[in-house]
Amino acid sequence: MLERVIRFFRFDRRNGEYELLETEEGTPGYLAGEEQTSTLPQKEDTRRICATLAENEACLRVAFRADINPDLIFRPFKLGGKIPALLAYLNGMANAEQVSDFILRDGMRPGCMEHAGGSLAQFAIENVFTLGEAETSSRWADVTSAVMEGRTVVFIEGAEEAVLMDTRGFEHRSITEPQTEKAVRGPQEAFIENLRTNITLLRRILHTEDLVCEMRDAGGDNGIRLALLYREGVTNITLVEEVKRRLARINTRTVIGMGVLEQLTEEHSLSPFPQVLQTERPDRAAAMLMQGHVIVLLDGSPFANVMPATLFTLMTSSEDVYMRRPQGTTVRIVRYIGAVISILLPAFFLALALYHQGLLSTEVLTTVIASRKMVFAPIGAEMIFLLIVFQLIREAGMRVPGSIGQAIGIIGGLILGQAAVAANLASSVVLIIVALTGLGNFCIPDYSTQIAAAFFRLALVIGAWVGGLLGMVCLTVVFVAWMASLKSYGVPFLAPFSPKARSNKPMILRGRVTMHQQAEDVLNTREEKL
Amino acid sequence: MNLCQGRIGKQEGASLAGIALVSSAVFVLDIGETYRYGNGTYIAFPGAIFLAFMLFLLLAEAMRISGKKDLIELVDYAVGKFAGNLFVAILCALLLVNAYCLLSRFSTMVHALVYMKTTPFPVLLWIVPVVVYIAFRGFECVARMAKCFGLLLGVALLLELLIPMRGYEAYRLFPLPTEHFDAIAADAFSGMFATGPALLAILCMARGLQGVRSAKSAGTIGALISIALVALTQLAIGLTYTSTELKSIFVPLYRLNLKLVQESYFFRLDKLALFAWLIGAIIASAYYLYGGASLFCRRWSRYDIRPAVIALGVILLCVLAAERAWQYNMVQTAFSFVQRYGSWMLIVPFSAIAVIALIKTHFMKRRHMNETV
Amino acid sequence: MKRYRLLALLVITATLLPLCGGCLGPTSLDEYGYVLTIGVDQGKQKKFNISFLLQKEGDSQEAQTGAGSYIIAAEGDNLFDALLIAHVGVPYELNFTRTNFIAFSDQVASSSLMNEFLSISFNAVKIRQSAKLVIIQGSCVEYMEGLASTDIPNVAKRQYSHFQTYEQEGVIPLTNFTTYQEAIRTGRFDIAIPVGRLDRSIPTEDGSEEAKQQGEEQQTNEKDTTDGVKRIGGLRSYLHGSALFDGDRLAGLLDDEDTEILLLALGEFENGSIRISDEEGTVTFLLKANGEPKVQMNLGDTPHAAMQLTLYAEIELDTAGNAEERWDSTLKAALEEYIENELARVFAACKALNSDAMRFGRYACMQFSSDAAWQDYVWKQKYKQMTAEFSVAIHLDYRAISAHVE
Repeated sequence: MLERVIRFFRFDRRNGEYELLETEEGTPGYLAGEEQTSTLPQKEDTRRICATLAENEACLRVAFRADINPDLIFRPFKLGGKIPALLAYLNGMANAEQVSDFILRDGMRPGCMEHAGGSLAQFAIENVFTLGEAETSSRWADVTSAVMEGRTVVFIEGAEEAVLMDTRGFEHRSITEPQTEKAVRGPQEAFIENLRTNITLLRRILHTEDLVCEMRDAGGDNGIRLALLYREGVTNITLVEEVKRRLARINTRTVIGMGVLEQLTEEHSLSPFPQVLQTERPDRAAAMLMQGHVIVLLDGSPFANVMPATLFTLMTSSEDVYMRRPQGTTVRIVRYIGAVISILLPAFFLALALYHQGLLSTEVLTTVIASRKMVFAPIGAEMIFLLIVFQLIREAGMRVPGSIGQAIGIIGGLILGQAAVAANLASSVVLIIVALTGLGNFCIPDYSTQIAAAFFRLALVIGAWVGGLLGMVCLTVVFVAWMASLKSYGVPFLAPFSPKARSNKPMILRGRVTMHQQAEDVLNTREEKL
Repeated sequence: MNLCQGRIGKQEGASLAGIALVSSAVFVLDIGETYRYGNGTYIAFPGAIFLAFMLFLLLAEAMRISGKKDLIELVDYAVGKFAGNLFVAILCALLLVNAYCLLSRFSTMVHALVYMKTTPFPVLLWIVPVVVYIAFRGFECVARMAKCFGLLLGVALLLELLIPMRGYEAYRLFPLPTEHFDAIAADAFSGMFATGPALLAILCMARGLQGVRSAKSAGTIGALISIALVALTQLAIGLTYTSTELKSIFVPLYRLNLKLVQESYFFRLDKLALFAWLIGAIIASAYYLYGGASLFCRRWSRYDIRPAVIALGVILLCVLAAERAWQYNMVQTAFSFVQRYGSWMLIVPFSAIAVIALIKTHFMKRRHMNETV
Repeated sequence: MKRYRLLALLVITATLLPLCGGCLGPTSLDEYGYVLTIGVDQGKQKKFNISFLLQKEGDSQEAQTGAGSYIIAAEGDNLFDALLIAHVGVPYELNFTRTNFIAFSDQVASSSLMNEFLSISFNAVKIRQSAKLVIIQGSCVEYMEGLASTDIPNVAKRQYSHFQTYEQEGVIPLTNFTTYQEAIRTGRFDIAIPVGRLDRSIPTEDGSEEAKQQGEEQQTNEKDTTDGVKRIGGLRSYLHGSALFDGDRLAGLLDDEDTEILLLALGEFENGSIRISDEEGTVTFLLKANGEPKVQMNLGDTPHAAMQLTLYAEIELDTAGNAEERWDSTLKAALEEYIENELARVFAACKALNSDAMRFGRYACMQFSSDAAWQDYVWKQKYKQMTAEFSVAIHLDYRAISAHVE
C-alpha cells in the first residue's frame, strides 16, 4: 500500500507500461498524405565469371577502363608452375608486399597444385595461399567490389570462380587526439577515416560477445560501406530494424561522410536539432553501445553516428562520467546555464531595451544609454550585426589552420571588438552580451546543437526586436513545442524528462556510476525486460 | 483517422489538467463581479474545481464500471450515437469557449499591461498562431509542453505569491462573507463552465493516457494541485486587496507586490510573471483547441485532425478579432450566456450520462448473471 | 513536393501573421528620459506646476563623467497637460517606469488637488503604483534640487538610501500610492506620509551666491535649519516626521518623535531609541518591537480599542554595579508608563485631526459579517467618538559588560 502511495506521488509508471520506441513508418504526412518517394531503378550485375583467363581479363579491363586507368595492376603467373592464373588489384589500395609474399611467392611454388581436384579456386585457398582472409566467388559484382576495396583477385584458367583475398593496405591517418571532443581525463584517441580501425577501436573497449558488427553497403552509387553495430540480445530489436529500414531506403548518388548519412536517415530533415549524436570518441561510442544504442560507422568518416539521440544526450560530454559525481553534476549545470544564456540572453536584453525598460535598473539603463550615445545603428541591428560578426569569427577560426585560427579568434574577439566600440559601431554593453553568448554557446558539447542554438538565438533576437518579451516567449514556446514533438528513431527527443523514464538518465544531474551499468530505459532495451 | 494523439504519461496528464484548471480559474473567473458580496473567491474558485472534479470522478467511475475506453464511448453507450451528438457538441463548444476566454483575457492583459502603444489585435496575431501550432502538433506535444513548463510555472506562481508576503494583511479579508455562503456556492457552481471542460477533456483523451485508470489519477493529481494553487492565489489576492478595491482592479494577481514599500531585486519581476502565465494560457488554450478539434473529428469527420485544428483556430481568431473590432457586445452577450448557463449545460447532461451508464451496466450485469444461472 | 509546399505555406502564414500586426511599438532605451521623481507644486497659471527629476547619463561609454540629474518642469491642469508642454523642450520621450516617488507640496496636499492629481490613470504612462508618496514643506523643485550631489551621480541609489536610512531609524512612515488608494477607496484608515524639508543653511554644490547668503543667514532663520538644529554638510533635502491625512487631505503634521510612537502603534516600528528622565538623569533605551500590537476592538455605541504592545529593550550593565535592580524597580515601569502616555497623546493628536492614522478601522472592520454592513457603519464618523487605552509591556534583556579595566 505504502509503495503504491509513494508511486502515486512520484508519478512512477509500472515496468513496461508503455513502449517508448515506436516506428515512425506509419506516421501520415501533412494534410496531403504520405508522398511516394521515387526510387532510381537499380541494375543488378548478374554476370558470372568465365572459365577462360583472357575473357575475365578483358571484362575487368573494360569494367575499370584499364586502357586509360593505370591504377589496376594485372599480373599473370603460373599457379604451381603450370596452371595459368591472373592476379589483379588496385595500386595503392592493396598492400604490394602481401601480394608478392603471400600470393605470388606461394602461388608460383612448383608442385603446389599437384593434387588439385574439384574446385581449383577452393583448392588454392586451402593449400596454396597463406593469407588469413580469403574466399571464392563466381559473381562479377563481388569481384569488382572486392578490387575497389583493395582486395586482390586471382583468376585461374579453367575455374569459374575467382579467389578474393584481403590485402587491403592503403595509406591512412594514424590515430590521433580528438579534435572536437577534448577530454582532460578520458582516453586521448579518436576515430579515423579507416572503417576497420574504427571497429577495432570499439572492439578493444568492448569485450562482449554480443556485439554485432553488420557490414553493409551505404546505399550510394559510390558503393561505400558502413558498419552497423549493436548488442544482440540487449538493443531493442525495433530500434535495430528501424535503423536498418532507414539505411535500406537510402538511394542516392553519393554518400560521403557521416553528415550526409545522417541527413539521409533522419526523419525530420527540416529540424534545426540533430536527431543522431555524432562522436569521434571511441569510448563514448562504446558507452552508448553498452547502453543499448545503435552505432553506424562509415568508411572514410572519422565519426560514429549514435542512434537515437535525445536533447540530454546531446548536452552530455564523455568526460562527465570520468569526473566524480559532484564535479560532473556541477559541470553539467554550468553547461546548461551556458546554453540558456547563449540562446536567451541577447533576445532578452533586446526585449528589455526596446519594450520593457522598467525591468532594467536605473544604473543599467544609464550605463547602456551612455554606451550607445554615438552608436548610429538601432540596438536590434547592432545586436544582429555583432551576432553575425561572432559567427564570422567562429567560422573563420575553424576553417583556417590551427595557430592562425587561434589568432583570428584573438584578433576578432579583442581587437575587432575594441575597435568596433571605439569606432562607435557597437556599444560595449551589447558587445559584452554577445561575448557572453559566445561563451555560453561553446559550453554546448555537440557541434550540431551549437548550430541549432545559433539558429534559435537569431530567431529569438528577431522575435524580441519585433515583439519584445511577447515575441520571445511565443517563439520559445514554438521551439519547445517542436522539441516536444520531435522523435529520434521513435524515442521522444525530451526523454527521459518527458516522457518520464525510471532511470532518469541522462538528465541535468549526473547519476551514480553504478547506474551507468544499467541500460537506458528510454531505449526499452531487452536486457531491462529480463 | 489521424488524431495525433500519441501516448502520454500521468505526469503529463496531471500537468496539463493542472495548468488548464489554474489558468481558467485564476484568469477567466477572476472578474470584478465575483467580489460583489465581499471576498469569497478563495472558497468559490477552488470550489468550482472541486465540483468539476466530483463530476470527473463520477464519469471516470462510470467508465471503469462499464468498461468504456473514453468519454465518447461512454456517451454513446449511455444515450446512443444519435443523442450522443448533442452531448459531444456541448463539450466541444465549451472547450472552444474556454480557449476563447483565455485568449481574449490574455490578449487584453498583455495589451493593457505591457503593449499600450499598440492595439490588442497584433497581440492576438502573436499568440493565436502559437496556440494553433501546438495543437497542430498533437496531443502528445501539448501534454509534453505542459510537463516541461508545469513545474516551472508552479514554482513561478508560488514565488509570485511569496515575494509580496510582507504586504499581506489579514484585515483585508474582512468582513468575511459569512452571510453569503449561498452566493459563494452559486459562484462555485457557475465557475464550473471554466473548470469542468479541462477535466472532462482528460477523459476524452483517456486512450492517449494509457487508459481510464491512468487518466483518472492524472486528473485527480491535477485537480488537487490546482485546488491548492488556486486557493493560495486567491487568498494572497485577498490578503493584498480588500474586496472594495478588487471590484475595480484589473488582474489583481499582477499587482500583488505593489503594496510593498521596500523594493528588492524581485520587486519588478511581475512582467516576467505575466509572460510565465501567458505560457500557461497558451498551453491551456492549445489543449482546449485540440480537445475541441478532437471531439469534432471523432464525431463528424473521418479525416486528419490537423485541418480541423487550423480551421477552428482561424474561427477563434476571427471571433477574437470581431470582439476587438466591431462586434464587442454580440460576442460578450454570447460569452455571458455561456458563463451563466455553461455549468448547467455541463453538469446536467454529463451527470445523467454517468448515472444512465451505471444503471445500464448494473442491469446488463444482472441479466448476464441470470442467464449464466 | 506537395507535402513540403503545404508545410511551407503553413509556416509562412504563421510567420507572417504576427508580422502583419507590425511591431508592437518598440522604443530604444536611449530614446527615453527616465523620470525618477515627480514633484507636484501649486501652479500659477494652471492647477499644478509639475516637475520631473531625470537621471543624466555619463558623457561616454568609457567615462561616467557628467552623470547626474536634472529637472524639467511645466504647468498643467493634470499630468498629461504638463507632459505635453514638457515634451516640447526635450528631444526624447519621458519614461515613468523607474519613478520612485511622487512629491506633493503641503499646499497641494492640504487641498483636494492631490487626490485630483492621483485620480488619473497611472497605467497610461506606466507609473508603477508602488511609487512612494512624500509631502514637501515648501517647494518640490527645491527639494529635488537638494537631493543632487556630484559625488554620487546615481540619483536612484541616493533616493533609495535616502528613504531607507530614515525608515530604518523609525522616524518616517513609508507610504506608497497603492496604500493611499486603499485608504481612499475603503475608508478603513487614514494614511501618514513622510514629510520632506530643505535645510537652506547647507550650501548648494555649485556654491551660488544665494547659497552663500543662506549660509550666512542661518543663525537668524530657524526654519532653514534641520528641525531648528544647525547641521554642517550632507544633502540639503531631508525627511522629518509625518503628514497625517483626513481622507484625501492633509490634516496636520507629526514630528519625528511622535512619528516613532505612531509607528509603534502601527506595528511598523522595528527598532529605535527613546529617552526618558528620572532623578538620576536621562536614560536612552534601544527598543525593538516584535510584530504588530494586539488590539481588542469593542464597537458598541462608541468604539473603544484596547491596544497591547510588547517591546524589547537591551540594557548593558556594568558588572560592578547593582543597576539591574534599579532597572526592574523603577526604570522599566517608568518606560512603560511613558510609552503608554505617549501613545495616548499621539492618538489624541490624530483624533483631533480626524485622522485614523493608527488604523483602528482595520480592527473595526473585522467585527462585521458582511461588506454591506461595514459600508453602512461609516467608520470615520464613529472614529470621532472613539476611545482607546494602551498597555505596554517591556521585556528587558540584560547584558553584562565583561571587559573590566583596572
